[in-house]
Amino acid sequence: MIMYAGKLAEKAPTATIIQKPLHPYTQALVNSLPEVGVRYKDKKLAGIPGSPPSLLKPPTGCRFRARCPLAFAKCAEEPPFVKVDTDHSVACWKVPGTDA
Amino acid sequence: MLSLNRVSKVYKVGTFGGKDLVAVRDCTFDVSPGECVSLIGESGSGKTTVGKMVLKLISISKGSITYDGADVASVKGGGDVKSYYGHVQGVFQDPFSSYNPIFKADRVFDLIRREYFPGMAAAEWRDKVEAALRSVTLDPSQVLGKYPHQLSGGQLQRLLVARALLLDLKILVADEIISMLDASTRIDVLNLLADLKSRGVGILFVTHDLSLGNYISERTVILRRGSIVEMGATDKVFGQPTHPYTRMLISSVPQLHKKWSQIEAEIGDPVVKGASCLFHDAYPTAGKNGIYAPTDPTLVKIEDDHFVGCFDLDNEKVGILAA
Repeated sequence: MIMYAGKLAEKAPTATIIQKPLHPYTQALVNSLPEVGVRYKDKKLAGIPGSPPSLLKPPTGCRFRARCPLAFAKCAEEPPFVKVDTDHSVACWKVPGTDA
Repeated sequence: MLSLNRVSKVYKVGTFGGKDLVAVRDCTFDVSPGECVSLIGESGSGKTTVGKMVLKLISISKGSITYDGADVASVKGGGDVKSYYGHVQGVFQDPFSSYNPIFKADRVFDLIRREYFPGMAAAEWRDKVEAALRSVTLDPSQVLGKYPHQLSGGQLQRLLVARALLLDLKILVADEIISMLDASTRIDVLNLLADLKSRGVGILFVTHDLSLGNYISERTVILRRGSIVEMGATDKVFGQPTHPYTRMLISSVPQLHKKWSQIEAEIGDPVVKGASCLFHDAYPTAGKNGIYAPTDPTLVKIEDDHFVGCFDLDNEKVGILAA
């Protein structure tokens, strides 16, 4: 279960989260993990630009949209937490099956 | 630039300091400009003690640390110490303990100004601080004038790096600086260290995380119970780990795509019982009766830029500091 700024982003068994993450935040998180064998000079890992939003004035719509590489106009509306597969739910407008 | 020569640290413990606790014994390695050396070891292996000795926070019991050829222990008196800290700085594990919660976080910059740049004009100082903050990818308007509790761990940690950058930084002792950051901030700080490296700063990267050490460093030193068991170029230490302890350490790193249930069977027993010790094959008399004479070597060279220490893991006495 992956949370971002107080909201659920994605929920699935651990193996699914690691192997086929759907939410852009989960993807960025998984991709920023270094493993033994990964060297800076061979493969520069990227962090997530920006910092988490202030929760005193949480942003409207998707809370990750300011830092999301895929964000588009629709993200100003809050994405529903949709079940996309057996045991796999995600809250992102870009995930197929989420379109309202 | 920074060299450690058979450095040892003995802490006095027990009532009236009656017992000796050898935290670091006979450690010898160098940090060159623009090079990152990771110091890897388990809890209690003496990693932080080495970092503290480099930063002159604790005294050196035996051996010497030299910086640009000058003995660090003999740096005394306000002026010399100040100029040493002008080049050698440290950042520690818990950023919250480096700040006084009563004062605003940017007070750490004012302290630097008071000590090192008393004559600098306010506007010039402000530009310098903002340039340092930008080089650690912080937005000055977001962090200046805030109290420590209003900033995240990653922001505080980067503020401390920015503080070191205000000085003429040559050596940075980074003691577990990213252990408490989340995965994406961690990578940001690591990339920042790599950027410092390309500017010619030598980094002593103290960590227990092998994958982070492997990611950032050119050379790796593996410490166990205060002794160096293996050291050398990072790709050699990780590619052909030779000491049984290094092998065990590398095989015990969890991997993202492997689950506990699959990996358990693979680890087995990496320490080969009764394997011959490369170190004692090469130097049969060194460390005899568990005591290393000051002239004894502590590591054997097994290939170019790859050294390994004694294999006798079960013998507590081996490696004990020569009396």
